[in-house]
Parts: sequence; C-alpha cells; structure tokens
Amino acid sequence: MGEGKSEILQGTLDLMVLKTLAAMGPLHGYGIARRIEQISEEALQINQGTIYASLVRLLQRGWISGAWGASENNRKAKFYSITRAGRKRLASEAENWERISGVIGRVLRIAERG
Amino acid sequence: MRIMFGWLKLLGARIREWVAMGRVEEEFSRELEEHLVLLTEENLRRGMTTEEARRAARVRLGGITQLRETYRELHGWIAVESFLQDVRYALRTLLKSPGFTLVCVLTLGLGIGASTAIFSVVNGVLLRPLPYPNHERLVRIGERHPGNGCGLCGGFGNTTYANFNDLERAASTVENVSAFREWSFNLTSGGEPEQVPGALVSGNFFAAMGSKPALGRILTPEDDAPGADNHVAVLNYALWQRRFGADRGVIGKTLQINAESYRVLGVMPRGFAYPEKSEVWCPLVPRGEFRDNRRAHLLTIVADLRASRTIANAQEEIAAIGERIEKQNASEDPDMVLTTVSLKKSMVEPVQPALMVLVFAVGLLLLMACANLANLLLARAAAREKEFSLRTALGAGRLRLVRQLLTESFILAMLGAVVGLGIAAWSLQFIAALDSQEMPRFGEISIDWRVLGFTLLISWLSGLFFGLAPALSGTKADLNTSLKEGAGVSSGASRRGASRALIVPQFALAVVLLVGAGLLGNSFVRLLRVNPGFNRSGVLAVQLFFSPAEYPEGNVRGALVLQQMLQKVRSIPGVRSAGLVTALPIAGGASTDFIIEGRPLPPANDEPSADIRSADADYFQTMGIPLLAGREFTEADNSTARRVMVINQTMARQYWPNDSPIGQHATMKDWGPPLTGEIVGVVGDVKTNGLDEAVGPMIYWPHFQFPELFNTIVVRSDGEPSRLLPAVKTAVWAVNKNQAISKIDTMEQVLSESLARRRLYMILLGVFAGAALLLAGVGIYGTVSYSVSQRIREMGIRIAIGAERGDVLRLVLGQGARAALLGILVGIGTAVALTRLMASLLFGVSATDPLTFAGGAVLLTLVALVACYIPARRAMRVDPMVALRHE
Repeated sequence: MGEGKSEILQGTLDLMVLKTLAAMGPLHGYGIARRIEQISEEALQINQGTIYASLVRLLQRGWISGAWGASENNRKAKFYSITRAGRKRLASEAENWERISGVIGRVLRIAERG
Repeated sequence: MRIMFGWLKLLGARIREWVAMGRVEEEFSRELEEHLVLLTEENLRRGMTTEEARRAARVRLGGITQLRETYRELHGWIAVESFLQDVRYALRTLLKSPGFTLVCVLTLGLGIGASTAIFSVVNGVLLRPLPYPNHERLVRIGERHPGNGCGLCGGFGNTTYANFNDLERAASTVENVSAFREWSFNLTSGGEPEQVPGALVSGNFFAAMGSKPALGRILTPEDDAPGADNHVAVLNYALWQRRFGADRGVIGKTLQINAESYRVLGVMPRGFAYPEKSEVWCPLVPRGEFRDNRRAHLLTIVADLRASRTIANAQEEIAAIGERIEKQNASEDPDMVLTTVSLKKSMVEPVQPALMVLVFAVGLLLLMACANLANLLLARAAAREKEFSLRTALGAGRLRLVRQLLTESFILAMLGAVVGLGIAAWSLQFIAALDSQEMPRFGEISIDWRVLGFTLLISWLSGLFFGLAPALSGTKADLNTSLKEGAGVSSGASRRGASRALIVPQFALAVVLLVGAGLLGNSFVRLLRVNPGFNRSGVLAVQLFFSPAEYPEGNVRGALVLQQMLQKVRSIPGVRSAGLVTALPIAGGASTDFIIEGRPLPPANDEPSADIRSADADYFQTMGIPLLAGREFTEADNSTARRVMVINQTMARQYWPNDSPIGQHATMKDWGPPLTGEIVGVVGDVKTNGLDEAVGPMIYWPHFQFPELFNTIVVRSDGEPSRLLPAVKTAVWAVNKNQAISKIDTMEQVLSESLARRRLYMILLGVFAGAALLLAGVGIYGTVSYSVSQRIREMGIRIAIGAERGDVLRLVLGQGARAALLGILVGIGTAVALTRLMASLLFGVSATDPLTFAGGAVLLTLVALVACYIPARRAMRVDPMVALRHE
C-alpha cells in the first residue's frame, strides 16, 4: 500500500491542490497539474498522475467534490472544486506549513554551522 | 445464526462494493484518457509530431496501470482483491491435484451430508414448531394410573369422558379444553368404499388448535351438542384433493360416512393433520351413559394455556383437579393422576432419545471426517514446504500464507457442503422410504433455510477445524533448512508425529460408532429371533371396520355377516383356513380389568388387567397358536350359548400356578356391564404389543358373545398370501358391497412394520459406522504410506546396513498399529461411558455387551493392520541402491 511514500510529500501536494482549487475555482485534473507547474514556473515538473492520488485522498476526506462537466474543447471531464470544509482545512494547513517550513529552515541552518 | 447473518451482510457489502468498483474504475479510466488528450494537444501546440506528442503525454502522466493500482489501494479494495486472489490461487492449486481434491471433498461431503440429513430430521421433528397457529400454547392432558402397570400408554394414557367434563369445568389456567377419539370412517359415496383414519372431536377442537379452514367452516361447540345436527364433517386437504378432485362445491354436499349421511362443513388447509394421519373429523357426541363413564379411557385431551399462564401453572392446577376427581370417584377410577405436557413434547417424546443418539453419532462421524482431512492437508503442507519457503523468501508474510491455506480449506469445505447437501437430500428420500407411518412428524421433514444454515455453519466450522493446524504447521518452515533440504528427507518428523497422533482419536471415534451400531444390530437380530407365538408365514390379514350405524354395538348381526364373509373366503382355492379376531397380535388392542370368581376380591385399585380379544373357532388354528389345554371355540359358542372364554398361558400360569384353570370362571369388568364366562381352554402366548414387550394375561371371547366394530379376517394360504387379496376382497364385497377394507397386510409385514423404527435407527447407525470404518482405514493408510514415502532413504539405509526385510515390515506396521491400538483402547473406554445413553434402544443385550465390544475392536484392528500392511510391504521392498540415489 501507500505507506512507503513520505507523508510530507503527499501532504505538500495535497496542500498545493487545495490552494490551486481555492484560487482558481473548479478545474479538472489536467488543469490542476498545469496550474501547479505554471505557478512553480516549471521548476516543479510533477508526474501528473500523482495528482489523482491526491484528488482521491481529498475527496475521501470531503475537502473537495467532483462533478462531470464539459472541458474547454467541449469533451466530458471531471471538475473538482473545494468545499467549505476544504477551505477551513486549507487555512489551518497553510498556517501549519509556514510554521513547519520556518522550523525546518532554522534546523537546516543549524546543521550547516555544526 | 446471528454470526452467520453478520457474515452474509458483510459479504453482501463486499460484493456491492466490488461491483461498484467496476463502474468507478471505468470513470477513472475515462478521466485519465481525457487527461492524456489534453496533454497531447498541449504537446502538439509545442510543435511535436503526433507520435511524439502521444508518447510524451504518457510519460508525463506516469504509468497508467500503476495509477490504477494506487487508486484501488486508496479506495480500500485491496483486502477484497487479495481475498479473490487467494480464492483464484486456491482453486488453481486444488484443480492441479484433482485426485486429492476429490478425496477431500468426498470425505467431507460424507460427514456434512450425514450431519445435514440427521439435522433435517431433528429440525423437522424436534425443533420446528407444530404447524398450528396456537402451537406455543397447546398442551396435552393425560391420565396416569401409577398403581397398575399400563403397558401401552407409557405413563400418558387416555381420559374418560366424565373426567374430560370435570376438567373442562374446573380448569382456569387453560382454555378450549377439547377432546378427541381417534376413529375410522368408511367412505362409500363415489368410488370404491374406502376406510380413512380420522377423529371424533369435541366442538372446540379446532378452536384449540387455532387453525382456520381452507374452505367452508370448522366445527364449533354447537355442532357436538346432543340434539343438534351432529351429522357434519370436516375433511383434510389431501382427502379433498384425492377423492373429491379439489371440487370447491363439496361444501354442503352430503356424504355417506359409516353408513350414515354427513354434510361437509369445511376443508382444512394443507398440513393440518392432527391427530396424525387424520383425514376426516366429525363431532364427538356423548350418547347415553357415555357422558358419565369413568371406566372407558378413550379420549385424548388438548387445550390452550391461557395468556400469561405457564405450563407449570397448568400442571399444578390440573394435578390438583385430578386429585379432587380421584377422591370423589375412588371406587370407579382409583389411583388416577392427571398430567400435563406441551403437545409437541407428547408427540415427539418417544423418538427423542433415538434422535439424540443419532445426532451424537453423526457428530462423531463429522469429527472423523475433519480429522482425516486435517491429515491429508498436513501431508500436503509437507509436500509444499518448498513452495512456502520460496514465497516467504520472496516476501510473503506468514499471516498471508496462513490465510492462503485457510482459503483453500474453506473452498474444500464449501465444495464438501455442496456434495453433502446432495447426499442429505438423497438420504432423506431414503429415510422417508424406510418410514412406514411409524415416526411422529416425519411428513414434515424437509431441507429448509434452517437446515441450509446449519450446513453452512458446520462446513465453515469444519473448514476452520481441519484447516488451521496444517496451515499453522505448514508455514512454520525455517527458510534455511527447508530450502537446502533435498526431497524426501524433510524435517517432517514432527509433522509425521502430528499425523500419527490424529490416528488415535480417529480410531477411538470409530470404535464408539461401531460398538453403538453393533449393539443396535445385535438387538435387532435378537428381536427377529423372538418367537411371536404364531406362525408368521403364509398369513394374510384384512382389517374391516363396521359402521356403528349399520351394526349397533352389542348386536350380533355383524357377527353373522362376518361369518358369511369367512365362509366365502374359505371357499377360495388356495385358502387353507380362515379365522377372525378383533385385533391382531403385535399391533396392540383393548384391555380390561378382571376378577376371578370364587376368590377374595382384590382392593379396587389393584384389580388385575388382561388384554381382551374376540375370535372365532378357526382363529387359533389359522394363526398357528397352539392349544395347550381344554378346547378351542366351536360353532356352538354362539350368542345364546353359555358364555365361555379361552385364556393364554401367562394368565393360566399367573393365576392357576398349581391347578388347571379349565372350568373356572372370570369376569370382565370394563366395556359395558360386567361379563362372566367359563374358562374352556388355554392357548399359547402371542406377543401383544410388539416383539420387545413382555406378554401379559389375555382373554379371548367367542366373537358371537362379544361382537366388536373392529375386526380382522386372517387367511392362511398354501402359497404367497398376498396373491389371494383380490379374491378375498371379492368375497367381502359379495356379502356387503359397501364394506370398506381398511388395511391389508401379511403377518410378515405386520412384524416387519412393528420393527420399522428400530430398523431405521439400526440402518442409520450402521451406515455411520461403515463410513467411520472406511474413514479410519483410509486415514491410517494415508498416514502410514505418507510416512513411508518420506522415509524411503532411511529404509534404504537400514536395509543396506543389514536390516532384515521383516524388521522393516515390523517397524512400519508397528508404528501404525500402536497408534491404532491406543485409539481402540481409548474408544472402548469412551464407548463404555456413552453406550449407556442408548440403553432404552437396546433389546436383549447390555449396553456393555463384551462380545459386541470385542467384535468392534477386532474389526478395527484388522482394518488397521491391512491398511498399514500395504505401505509396509512397499517399504520392505525398497531397493537400497535406488533409495540412496533417490533425490
């Protein structure tokens, strides 16, 4: 099962997906992946498939919802949007992230000196 | 049961999830496809060729198969998936060795099938509620007379009409106190005259049962009131279908029943048959003195417990009422006690002990089947040790392997359950065919949901039972040793020990079953050897019931008609002689209290009792009952002549031990005004109530002096008696074309039917014992031959360094036989403790009959020796060179 992967990495991607949906409104899987790549200025070349694992996790927790709709080229696609619970979660996770990244940054600096 | 439903619900949820998974996954695939299309378009915009764009898109999305896998894992379907994988793998493994699978499934099918069949019987007879709406409240109230032994009534006798009336008035814990008397009905309208069984019932009888009619109406208390229209009848469903072609117009029609006109009121629904086998119910109308009669114990009483009253309440109250009645009427019906039990209990009590013995036996058989299977799987686990080691080395956890092996066991158990259900369905047909209307509620036996649940449950339990030990021991393998080891010298010593240890309980169980079956068989053989007191071969018995309207009781017209019939029968070619009796030997019949004239009167509650029959001049000679003193009846002993009687040897010995009874007088107290007769002859004893019951005193009257409604013509023929049947029927109908013939048997059949129950028990237990013998033999054979195959090299070495072949034979034989003998000893000990439970089923042998025990032990020892000898001979013939190279 999925226990082998790093929790933080999974969490990071989930957080990015949530933030993207919060900022952009309903998007399909491709759109989310493209958006994340663009914002990171193509520095983060993710394996786009991993988006879907993240989407399933978020769906299961009720933080996003999915519905079938028409894509820009008028084909059927599944669009995801953030829920109220998702927004709350995003807020607390973002705060959490800031704190952890700050801590990790400090720890890494200590390590360099030591 | 609840566990089972829980499991079913879970399975249902799993299946639904699994089905839904197909749809969800399809959607996911579409989503991924769409994603690929969009990526490809993006790549095309960047100027790639179509081919390049597609490939690059796939690379950026990642492996689709992997994605699907992750998706499934996230959805938590992995457990179901791996279960299904186990099932697939198990099926493949089982199919790879069809012989092994077949042996396992058949062994298990045998155990499960036998258990299911017996459970169906127990379910139908003991567990299922009676098929009447008031089944929970129905009780039966009976009389007992602890003072004088009552052979037939087994402590639960019938009641007099006066007692019924008293009880109905006094009882407050029960309502709908109703009575019935089993009765015969001659039907003459439409078709051949037919005699059907049924009952005369009080008006509230159907109300007590709580049953509604399928057509028309039931009898009500107005119908049995003296002076009302009592000539009404209710039919059962089967009779309505058979004789009246299910014609709804039968309601209101007039039928000729017992030579009188009866109006049909209603038809009862299918399944309503109480008292058992009843097809017609008419009102029980007390005429004349019968209402106050305290001597004729003819009625069965059923009643409903009142709401919120328990059976204990009723027992207490009714016992007290009985005591009061007894005190008031001590001169007429002394020593009378009223007892109350649930109706169901009163019906099934006679067969309960035997059924419990069968349940026990079949449980032992199932255990043996499980032990055999455990053994087979153990051997197989050893052979697959390398496979498991390899899988462990590749990263399979032990739990996963155990689960895999248990899945295999469960699949075997399920296949066994399917085979078992087939065997059970077949056995039930067989059991139904063996039963000759002798067993209570046997018509209600079927495979219902409860039986199916039971089968499922025992197959799961046995799957767990025989699967767990091999699964645990099979996966314990130490990687290093087992991967390095060559074939044939595995570390299986401890497993061989476990396998040998299983022989002990198997043989012990087999001994118990063999001894049980042996005791029953022994009893049966002894019963067959019992002298019934008459010559059983070549006699046909034709029972006739005279309608009371046509032949009022006490009227000799019936005797004259019978005389004419007998004359016609005697003139049939091939008939050597023909006689008449009111009730055949073996089948039971009426009895009476009597006193001997000229002796001091015994106390009222201690009057001797005798069975009573009426017979004609030729009866004794036709049946081959020997005359021991005095004379038989003659044509001259008619209604106007001096009253005479013939008594049996037991009565003569008991009351005239030192002198001759001839010329003495005795008086019959029951059945109307007392009748006194002179004893003119003594005949040999005949078995009255069955081959297994002791004979009591018996009084015969000439049938002209004591005519009755129930009569049987017995015909002795030169050849096969049943060939005479058409001619006998013609002779009867030549005298009275409306005379129904109720039951036709040869005396051989009468004897055989009287043993039907015992035969059923004996055959069932015999089959179980045979199966147990087979399982024990196959089990020890399998264990020993597996052990030999594992030790080929050891045998080779032994022989190479000088062991005699005889030594090898003794070694192998000895190991198997020691375990078997230990098992047999344990079994004998167990059987001594257990066979006591079946003492009530035995006749003429003690529950610890040494010969039977010895026979069982010797038989099993022989089986063990033969089963061990075959592989032992193989071991003896091992060629050391071949064995040493064997790798």
